[in-house]
Amino acid sequence: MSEPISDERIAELLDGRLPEAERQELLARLAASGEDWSVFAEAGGVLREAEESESETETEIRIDPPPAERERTIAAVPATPRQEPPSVRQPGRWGRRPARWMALAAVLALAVLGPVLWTRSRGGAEGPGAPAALLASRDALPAGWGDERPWESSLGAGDPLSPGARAARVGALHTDLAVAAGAGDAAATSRLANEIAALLDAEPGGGPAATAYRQLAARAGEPASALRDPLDDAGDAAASLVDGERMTLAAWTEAARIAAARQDAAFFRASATRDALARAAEDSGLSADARQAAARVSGPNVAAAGWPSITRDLDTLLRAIAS
Amino acid sequence: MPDATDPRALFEAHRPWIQKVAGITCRRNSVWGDDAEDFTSLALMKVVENDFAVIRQFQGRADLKTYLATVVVRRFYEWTRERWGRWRHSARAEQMGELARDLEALVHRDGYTLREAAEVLRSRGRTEASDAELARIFAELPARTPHHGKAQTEPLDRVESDDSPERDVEARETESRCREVMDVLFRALAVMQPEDQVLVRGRYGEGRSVADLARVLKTEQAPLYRRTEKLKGELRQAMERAGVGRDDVRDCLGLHE
Repeated sequence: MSEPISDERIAELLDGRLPEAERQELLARLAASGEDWSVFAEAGGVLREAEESESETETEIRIDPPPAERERTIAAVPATPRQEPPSVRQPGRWGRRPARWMALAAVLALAVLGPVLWTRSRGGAEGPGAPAALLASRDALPAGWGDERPWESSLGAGDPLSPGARAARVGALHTDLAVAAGAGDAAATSRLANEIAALLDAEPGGGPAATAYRQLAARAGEPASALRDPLDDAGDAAASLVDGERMTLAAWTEAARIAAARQDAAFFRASATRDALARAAEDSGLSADARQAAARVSGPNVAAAGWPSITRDLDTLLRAIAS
Repeated sequence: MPDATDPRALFEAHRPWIQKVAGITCRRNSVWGDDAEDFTSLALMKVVENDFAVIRQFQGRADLKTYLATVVVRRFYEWTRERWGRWRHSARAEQMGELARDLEALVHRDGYTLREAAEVLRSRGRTEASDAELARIFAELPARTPHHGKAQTEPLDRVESDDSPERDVEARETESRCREVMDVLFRALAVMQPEDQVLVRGRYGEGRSVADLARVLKTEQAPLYRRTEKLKGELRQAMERAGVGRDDVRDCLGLHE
């Protein structure tokens, strides 16, 4: 049985102070361990939150630092140039598998076999249905929602939508549809489902996906529980047809717009939300304005910016994604 | 400035940090109120006990704050194990955020009914959502086996096990298939680089955020999004090549949750 890993050793790793070979060895050991893994992974998350809050409030506890003490804020950490690590094939570690590993592995395997499959598990974390599922309230869409969209709605004759823009509009409208269906708003459900179907009609091979949405439109008014699986099916069909990443990003952005309209701060604190919006901040396909807007709305204390400001940023982002 | 060679002075200088880290750890793990206060006291005691042994053992190879945070987190796991046995949030709850984690803990760990859990959360000012809204969130969470034999709650129905010979054979076949599935997964994981193993376990096994994992690995956050997606793709291909499907994995969850 291997020696337990000391807290200071874990701290060295978290501080990036180990030579590369030792770092790789320790990471491999932790990735296959039990409680030491939990301490390592959770301490990292706790440190991130603590360091973010310290950098925001600018309060620090100072002691006489050792000469090699590093800057603690993550933003100041230079990207460490990594030499190619040695091959660390350690099937032996993973070969010793306590029973608890089976549950972990099963969860992991399910997540990996997604997103289509994961989406089916009632608003899974990766599919186009996920963002709406995270909204705290199951109210209908705000009054007048959809009368004006952030994206340019009128295109010149013969000026087709780009595939990315179409995918984004499908994603955003899917979120609206999920909200409407969840609230039992039959009129909005029917309208939105037909709108998505019309978008998919223009997509090569879009017939089956469009049909799925039209079938949903025909069932508008049924209980939300009855529409949940058909909604997921339609979303899966659309995501497999269009640019799935763009569709999902727009779905998150639209959900965030709804959350901002409802002042749903919890939505913005969810790690899934922050991760989804933070991706947009790094998307080189978006304009600088859109990336900056995404960076602002994916930060740790978004609500402090004020809801009107958040809404403007989200509109900017969605306009960039969907135009 | 406190004397770096005086453990008591270092403790006093870092007391606010220890309290902050203890508080964050509690909140992240759905521990609050009196329980959180109890743990914070325990965390401070951990550093003080045996004449500040924790600080005297510190060799300066890491940042003292990082070291103390690690000590606090380990003490937290020890304390929760003493108090609740082995418990952690589901990956789904981690992804859904704080409210989902709190609900899951109150119902599955602490044994509250869903209605009682809703009242607790509202009375503590952690949400203003209605019972119906919280029930919808709860419905998105995976079913859990009762913890410490506490009473089950709506909407979790349990079917009494049937000890028929047919079910024994079925269970053995499922178990066997499950082990085959996990062999595929573990073989694929074993050949990954250690950083990638950490990412896969943290991101997909436990639902940890990319931001957290970036701090864990002390690396830039932005490239991790693509990297984790790529890793997921590699694992998925490995499982698909081996003919593993979602139903196979769900059966495993049913066996081992």
